[in-house]
Amino acid sequence: MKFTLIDGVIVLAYVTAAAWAGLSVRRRVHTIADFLVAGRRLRYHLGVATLVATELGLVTMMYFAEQGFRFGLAAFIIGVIWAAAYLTIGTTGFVVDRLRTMEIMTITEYFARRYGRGVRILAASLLIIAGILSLGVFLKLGALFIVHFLGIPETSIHVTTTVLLILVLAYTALGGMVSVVLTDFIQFVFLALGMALTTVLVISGHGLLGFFDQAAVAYSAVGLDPFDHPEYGWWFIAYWTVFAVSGCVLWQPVAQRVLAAEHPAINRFIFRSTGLMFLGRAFFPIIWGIGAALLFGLDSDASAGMPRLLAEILPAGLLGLLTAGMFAAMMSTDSSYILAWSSIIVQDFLDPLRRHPFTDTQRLRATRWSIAVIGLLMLVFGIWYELKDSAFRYLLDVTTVYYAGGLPALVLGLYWKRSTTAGAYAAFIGGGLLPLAFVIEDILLQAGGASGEGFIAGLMPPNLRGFLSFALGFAGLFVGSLLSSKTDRQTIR
Amino acid sequence: MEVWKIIWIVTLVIAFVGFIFLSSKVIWRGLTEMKELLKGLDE
Repeated sequence: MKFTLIDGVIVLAYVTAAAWAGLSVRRRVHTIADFLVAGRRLRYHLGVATLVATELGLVTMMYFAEQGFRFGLAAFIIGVIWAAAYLTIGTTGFVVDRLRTMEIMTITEYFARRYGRGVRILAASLLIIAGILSLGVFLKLGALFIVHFLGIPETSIHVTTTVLLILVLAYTALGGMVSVVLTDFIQFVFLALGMALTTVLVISGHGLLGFFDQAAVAYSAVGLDPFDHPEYGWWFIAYWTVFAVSGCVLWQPVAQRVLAAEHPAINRFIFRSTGLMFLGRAFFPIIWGIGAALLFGLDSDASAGMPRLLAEILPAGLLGLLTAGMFAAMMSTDSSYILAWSSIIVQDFLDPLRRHPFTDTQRLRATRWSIAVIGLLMLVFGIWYELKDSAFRYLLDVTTVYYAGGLPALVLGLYWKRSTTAGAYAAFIGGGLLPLAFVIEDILLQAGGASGEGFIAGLMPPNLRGFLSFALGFAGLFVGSLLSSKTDRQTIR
Repeated sequence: MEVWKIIWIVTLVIAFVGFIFLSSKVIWRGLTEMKELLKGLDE
């Protein structure tokens, strides 16, 4: 480990600046709209910075690097499809234009307007499950990175991670979205610089063509072709395409930025710019993962490969910059996600269940309490849960619980007049059934100490299961809507 | 295999150039927008 005084100063400067900036905006936050959507004053470039910083977490870099390490250049397909989804939505305004004009604060609020309170509570419940289970592995992957990158013992990493989490929770709870936007911007600067320089450094050891040649030899032809790769293939591409579109329009941290924009044209700009940047978001860590595999060998630990490589090759100064960037990535994503899910818990779950709606003060207080509870759950789940497959696969499974029903309910709700409340229920239940059963079974098996594959996991390959969940969600919405509208018509007659 | 290698090299170069160009633009103009956002909340 070559961590020098300069590196330490850079990291300390970053953590102090981000914490000060986050905490100092508290007095500017007056209303719940200021807290949750920054008073809807987010403009072009700040919108891009905050969206990229949020979606570029340490967890993102860890799972992309793991994909690169294990499956080679074929993993690039993940970034290409993700970027294409953002660019398409940015060009067409699909879903996001209509959503922004509705002046809502969460996507589940849309479900309430379109389908009623019950659908909103069901959607919020699935979203909370997906969000909390995703957040659970964030701390774990963050800890894994820090252990291997800084070469510190595992006992002190829990303390470091806990301190960082408390800092994030404090400024998220006090300043809300304004704090998040401000710190996201500082973090964006560190991340952009750190990632670009590191990628150049990883490739420069081999030369651009040399790097690709060596990767082609190490992973063979199948490691380059995503259509032919056993991990990916056609089912993955179909599944990942609908998943990526869902990620653009349904994922609360992304939606929160869509809803925080000053007007719909800003959303399109944010999505177009973010789309191109998201190619780098996926490609750079994948390159680091492949670089690690070339250096340490394909049979070494895939999830530890990237931090080990960076600790090995980065010079003094850049090491500090990247450490700050990684802390930045961890803090910006964690803070945004915690804010996003606390708003869902209060706005879409607790509030609709109450006889009298929350006042603004009660709402703000309840949101801050939810932030504390989510933080605690993150810590407990992060320490206890062990990942069986890759982190990427785990996150796909838990998020599909909400996306598979959410996508048809949102898209067809906006563009198909005949979609009904019964159809929305059928979409959420049909779409969430398979992934939820898989996730619950997996957690129960682990709680019971079993290590083998469960019944649901053995039914079909994971990519087919994922795609089928979306298909069931869409089928549920169509069938449920057609049947219920027919019943409605008969009742009217 | 060669075709895929060329595709990925070209895409990586596009990703890298795009990332650098957009990051610089976002950092430069985002700073002004941040000041405007804070000023707007104060009013």
